[in-house]
Amino acid sequence: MSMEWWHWAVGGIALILLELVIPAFFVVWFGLGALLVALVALVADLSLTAQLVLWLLASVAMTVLWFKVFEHRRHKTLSGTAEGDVIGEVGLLVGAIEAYGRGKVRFQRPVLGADEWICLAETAIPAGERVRVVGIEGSFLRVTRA
Amino acid sequence: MSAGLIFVIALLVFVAVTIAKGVRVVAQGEEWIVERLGKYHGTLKPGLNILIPYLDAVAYKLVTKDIILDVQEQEVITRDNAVILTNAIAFVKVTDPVKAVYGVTDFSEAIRNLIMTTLRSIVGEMELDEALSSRDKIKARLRESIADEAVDWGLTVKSVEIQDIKPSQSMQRAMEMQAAAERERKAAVTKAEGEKQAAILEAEARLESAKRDANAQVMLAEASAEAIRRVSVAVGNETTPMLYLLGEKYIASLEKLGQGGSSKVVVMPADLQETLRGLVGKLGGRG
Repeated sequence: MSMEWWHWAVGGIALILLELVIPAFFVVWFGLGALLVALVALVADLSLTAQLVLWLLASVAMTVLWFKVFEHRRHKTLSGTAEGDVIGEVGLLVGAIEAYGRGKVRFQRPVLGADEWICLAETAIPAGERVRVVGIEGSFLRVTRA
Repeated sequence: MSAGLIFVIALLVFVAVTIAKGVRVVAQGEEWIVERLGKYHGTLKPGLNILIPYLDAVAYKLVTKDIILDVQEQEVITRDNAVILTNAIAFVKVTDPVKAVYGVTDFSEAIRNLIMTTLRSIVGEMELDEALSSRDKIKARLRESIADEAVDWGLTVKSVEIQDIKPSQSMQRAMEMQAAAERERKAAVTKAEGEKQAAILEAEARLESAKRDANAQVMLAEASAEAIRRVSVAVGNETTPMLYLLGEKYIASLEKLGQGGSSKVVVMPADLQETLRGLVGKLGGRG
């Protein structure tokens, strides 16, 4: 059994198309690898084993490369995530917090469905201070001095 | 086929499967809990993620969008022993996926049950009329009461809305009957008051008319006294005109007696003049 270059090309295209169906981001790299092998097979005469090894190496290399690049991705939106875009929100403390106590913070626009929340802080903060949300704990917000 | 080829094919399958298992795409609005050898290892955020296959396993897939929880209708007994039906809807968000999956077996079910029981206890402390008219109060207290449990379960209760709060069928019937009875009572009272008023007015009318009658009699008596006084003044000591007047009246009354059908026997004094004089004499003696 010998693989012609077009076998690789057709197989590669099929794999890339398969990516549309399979909701996992890896088949496309194998498809592109196959296309690369097709290109090499067109110019050089390689054994089947060599072709397969080339395909394997190319696919893995591209996958790894993609993730190296992709690693520094940024979230465009945080909405729908667990902590959402609430973290970092700055509000006004309307009820003073004693150390390890509870206070009340008010936001300019509603946060998580309410504009007033009971908040927790480790240090005492007097009322009237601006505070920054650093965490959500159930129905309480953890804040620090902004 | 050479051994090399078979090995390469095997390797290919291995790499493909490994990459397939290692690369995970998490959709926006979801977060996945990854366990490494049975222990919590990490949370996968939306986007492309890499796992170590054979070691890591996705244990839970959580939706981190707001969850709509329908709290089913339930019967609640108020402090004054009235049965009302109430249901609610809650919007809950998973803010700590780890607590949500490891803190409680089924957080949706847990928070739903918690809302149900809390609602029951809040309404149970209220009177029927109060419960029916203070939804906002119930809402605020509900949110406050479930806050502590929600922390342990990594959930944020964004809002709880009371959908329906209505008396039960039998209670509704009783309330309608009560309202009808109240109307009937009012009608009866109004009617009785009307009758009382009428009786009073009637009595007053009678009193008034009696007063006027009495006045009239007094005035009549005064008038006849005046008339007699005037006559006696006019007559003075003269007896002749007096006799004449009396005689005339006497004869006129005899005539009347004669005409009457009942009695035909008329006893007449023999001496008419003397009789009259006797009368006048008495009058004259007084005047």
